[in-house]
Order: sequence, then C-alpha cells, then structure tokens
Amino acid sequence: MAEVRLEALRKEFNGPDIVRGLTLTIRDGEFFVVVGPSGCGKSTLLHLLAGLELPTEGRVYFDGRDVTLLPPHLRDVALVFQSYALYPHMTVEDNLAFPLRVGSRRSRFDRMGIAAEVQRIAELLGLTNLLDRRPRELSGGQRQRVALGRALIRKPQVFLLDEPLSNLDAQLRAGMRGELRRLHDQLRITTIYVTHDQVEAMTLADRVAILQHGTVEQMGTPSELYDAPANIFVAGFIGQPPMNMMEAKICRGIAETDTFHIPLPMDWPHRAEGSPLKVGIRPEHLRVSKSSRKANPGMSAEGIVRLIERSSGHPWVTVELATGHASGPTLVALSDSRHELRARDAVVVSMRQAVVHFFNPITGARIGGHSFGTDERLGSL
Amino acid sequence: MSLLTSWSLPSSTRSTARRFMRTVLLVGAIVLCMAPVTWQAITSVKSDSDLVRLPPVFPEHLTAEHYREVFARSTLTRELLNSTVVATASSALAVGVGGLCAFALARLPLGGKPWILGLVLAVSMFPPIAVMSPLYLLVRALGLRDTLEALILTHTTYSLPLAIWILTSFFRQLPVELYWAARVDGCTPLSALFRVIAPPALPGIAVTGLLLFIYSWNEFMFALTLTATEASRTVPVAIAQFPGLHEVPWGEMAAASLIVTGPVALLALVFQRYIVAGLTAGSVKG
Repeated sequence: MAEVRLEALRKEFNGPDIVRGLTLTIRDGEFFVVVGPSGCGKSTLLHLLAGLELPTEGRVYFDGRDVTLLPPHLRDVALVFQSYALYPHMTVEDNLAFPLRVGSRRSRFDRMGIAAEVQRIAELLGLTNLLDRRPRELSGGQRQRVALGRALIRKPQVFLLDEPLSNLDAQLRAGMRGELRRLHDQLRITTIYVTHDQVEAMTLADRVAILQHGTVEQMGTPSELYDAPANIFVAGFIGQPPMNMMEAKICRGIAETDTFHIPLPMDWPHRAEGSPLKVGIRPEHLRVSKSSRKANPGMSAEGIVRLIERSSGHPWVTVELATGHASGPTLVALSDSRHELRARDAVVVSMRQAVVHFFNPITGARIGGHSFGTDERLGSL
Repeated sequence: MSLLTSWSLPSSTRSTARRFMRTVLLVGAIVLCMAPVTWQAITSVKSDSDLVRLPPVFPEHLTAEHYREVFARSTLTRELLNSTVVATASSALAVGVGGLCAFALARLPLGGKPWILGLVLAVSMFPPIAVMSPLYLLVRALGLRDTLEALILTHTTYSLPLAIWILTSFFRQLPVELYWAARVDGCTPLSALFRVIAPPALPGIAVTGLLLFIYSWNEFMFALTLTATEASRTVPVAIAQFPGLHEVPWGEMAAASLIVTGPVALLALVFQRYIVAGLTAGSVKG
C-alpha cells in the first residue's frame, strides 16, 4: 500500500502530448477514479504508473520513492486489463498462482504457500470450482474475477484497473461494481481505476479526476464534481442525463435566457450589462407538469413533450420549449409523477428546487465560487 | 474454405455447374502435384528392363530390388543421418535465435524496427550462388570443410531471415496485453517470452521449424559445395551422385528419392494440426 505522487508527468508519442504535465497525489488506500472520454490519455497514464511506458518528462513516486525508471516487474503494482489478458495456456489455478511463481516473489512462497494463497483468493472471489478450467471455458464475468484475483493475490502496493467492467453486460457490471468497492473496503489497497463511464466514477470513487486531452479538468469527491463542476466540460460529462445548458444575457442582475429569468447571486463577481453567460441546470432540478398555471413568471416555461425515457423510477422528459422560433431549445427535466405524460403533450417546465450553475461562454470556466440554491431568493420574489 | 462450402449450398443448375468446375480444378491440382511423385513411385518398382522401354509401360512385375540396392550398395543410411542432423540442428538453431530476435522486434522498445526487418529481408534476397565462393573460402579457412558444422551454420544463416519474419508476425498477433500482464506480474522480458508469449505461439513456432527443416533437408547447392565425402554429404547430393560413368540408375534414384521424401511427408502429417492452427492463430481471441 502506498501513496502515489505524479510530478509534472508528460508523455508524448509521435505528435501531440498524450499526457500533459500531470501533477497529482493519490492518497494511501484511496480509491481514485480517472474518468474521461476515449483518447484522453487515461490508459497511457496507467501504463506510466505500471512502468510499461516511460514518461517523456516528470516523475512518479510511490511512498516518496522515485520509481519513474523502474521496470514493471520491480514496481509491485498490479494491473487489470480491459481485455483481462488471462494466460490462455494456463488453468485458472495457474493464472492465479502465476504472480507468486515468477520473479522476486518466487522465493517468498513454497508450493504449499502458493496453494494456500490461491485457495484464499479463490474463496474471496468465488472461483473455487473453476480452478481447473482454462480461460476460454469461462464466461465474461468469471474471466473478470480471475483477472482481479491474479492482480490481488500478491497484495500489490498499487492496484491499477483499466476499464475492467466495459466488456461485461449491464447487469453483471452493476454487480461487479459493488464487488469492487467491497473488495477495496476490505483490502484498502491504493487503487487507481480508469473508465470512460461516469456512473462507475461516481459510484466507486473516493476521489475522481476528470481527464481531457491529457490534463485534469477537475479533481474532487464525486459530490464536489456533481455539485460544483469547474467548467462546462465537467458539467456535461458528469451526471446522467447531462446538465441542460442555455445561453443567457445579464440584464439588471438577472440572467435572461429565451424563457427563464434567473436572478444572479448577491456575491456575483461582475455585473457587466448585456454580457453573455451560459446557464446550466441539472435535469433533476427541473420539473415537468401538465398544469397550465404558471407557478412563477420567469421561473417556468411552456413547451411540448418530445421524448419520455422511463429508465429510472421517475421518467426523464425531453421538452421542446416554445420560444416563438421554428424549433426551440430542448431541455431534459424530471417528470412530475402525478401526471401521465405522452409525446406532444403541452407542458410547463419549472425550476422547483433551483440549483443553477453559471459558466463563462468563452472559456467554459465556472463563474461563482460554489453552487448556490436560489430557493430563498425565489421566495422573496 | 468458406468459398468451397458456400459453393456446395444451393442445388440449382448453376451450383451443379460450379460443383463440376470445382471438381475439375481440384482433380487438376492433385494430378499436377502428384504426377511426378507417382512417376517416381512406379519407376522405383520397375525392373531394369522395363525402365528403358519406350514408350514407357506400366510394369507387369513389381520389384523391390532397387530399394535393396540403395541400402546395400550406397552410403544412403549415413547420408540420411547427416541430413537429419543438419536439418534438425539448423532449424532448431534458427527457431531459437530467430525467436529471440522476433520477440525483440515484436515487443521490446527498439528503434528502427522496420529498418531491421528490411535489412533482414534484404540479406535473404542474395541468391546463394552469389556468396558461394567467399563462403567456400571462409569455411575452408575455418577448417570446417566437409563437416556437418559447416552445413548447419550455413543453413541456419539462410533460414534465419524467414524465421525472424514469420515469428515476428506470430508474436505480434498475440495481444500485447498478455506481454504487459506478464511484465506487471513480475516477469523479466525473457521470462515473459518463455512463460507467456512462447506457449500460445507454439503452433506458429512448430510451423516455422517445419518449414526450415524442409528447406534444409532439400537444400542442394551449399551441400554440394561444402561437402566432399559421406562424412558430411546430405541426401540430395548423394542422389545426384548416383549416376555413374556409363549408366544412370533410374530405379535406384527413384527409390532413394521416395525414401528421402518419407520423413518430411511424415513430419508434415504430424504437424498438420499445428499448421492449420498456426494459419488461423490470429482469429482466436486471447
């Protein structure tokens, strides 16, 4: 178990940098998730940590020890691959025992010791009746567990996972997610988990780093990222369905969109009249209802239902706002479950428990230190 | 394969015509391949008087005399042994050395890989005859003339480029994650090669070994130049030296040729499973 520290880590292949000057510290025993779209450099980051590739610049420290140039077999890290990379010519038992049989660890375990360790890890992961099978005879979930077992059996200092769940079907994925978190709580090995799936990031992580184009866009606990996204990219990336974004203009202390008038907070940094602004509202902070009576002028808007998605308990409703244009902007909002909605119904979207995010439309950066509710201000209107 | 099976699916007139064409082509190919061997086989069991008749006749009396003659009068046993030693040693050496090269080219961080592969290919493009005189002088200077070592070295040298090319592509077909997993699990590059890369690539390695074995077994020009006596003479050279001053012993030569083809055909049969597996290695998910 170790604290992992990256210092100005940079990696370039022929062309632009894959990883651009990353400096971050992953605490001892932390479950750290790196999330980002494909091609953002997250797999390369894992390879740099495992020693499979050498950085162009920068340093990697495990517990203060410089391991930047250490080859992989001397680093004491374990890596679980997206494709599992089980050794096809070995049984499950041999796959699990392999890390104990090679290299510097060989001397630490005799035959009996290895058998005992294999038994222990097989029990932990429910693989006891599969020990004499070969990888090709296993299902996806079983292969996944063997890959985990092979990584965990030698109690590595750092546990690296590269999109380990992306080859599983949805149901299995949810189950394995819980399993991974349980394993981590039990073993407390410093874990760095790479994924493109923000749901995995939000459910698993102690802390999350959002990576884009090889740099960290934001780092923090899942709720920090969710409640106060640092920029438009993070705001759009975290949360499902994604945050609604609207163009607005500042007009006498109020951010005016085509349909909403949202009062700016008291501590607003600059109030240049007429300057443009991006307003973000999460779907769960918008309610769709059938009632024609406007609850709050400026805080609600009329529209037409375009799409209803019933994936979760409350249906997500896509509403096209009536702005007078041919095709108005669309918003995703949570349905008021009292009404059964159908496509093309005329509805009202209102900001019930309004939490509003403001962004600079040019830089994409968040304006205002942290998230704020406008509930109390609404009351005073 | 898929082409053939798709041909035999529907039973319309067109497909009947196709099936007919396919049969004709297959029979043609088989005749083309097997005719010389069959001719040799018939020649090897003809009596001497039948052999010289024109036009050739199908023999009425079969005789095993030529086979007896080959083993009784010539040194073919010794030469078979020589060929076996040379072919086995040179193909094993080439697969061993070539395997290490191929692994480095396929997986290790190495600059200029395309150049190295290109150079290796260029070396194998030299026609053997072009290097014959310097090679002969070199072998004589080393005191290796008329020894098995000279042939083993030469055959290995000429086999290496092929071994490196085939094995590099076999190693590259294996998912790179396998190698990475082995490295992270504690293997040095070399132990990763032996424990994780080589075993799944075994079909490819076996096929490569077989190809090199056949090359060395059949090789004629180096063997002719570098050998003098039955101490190192290989079978192709031996058969070529059957004809005497006054007669060409067609029967014995045919018998000897068939005896020599036997081991290689047998090897190909044994490795058949691997050859098929080796050719489809890339389609299997790691």
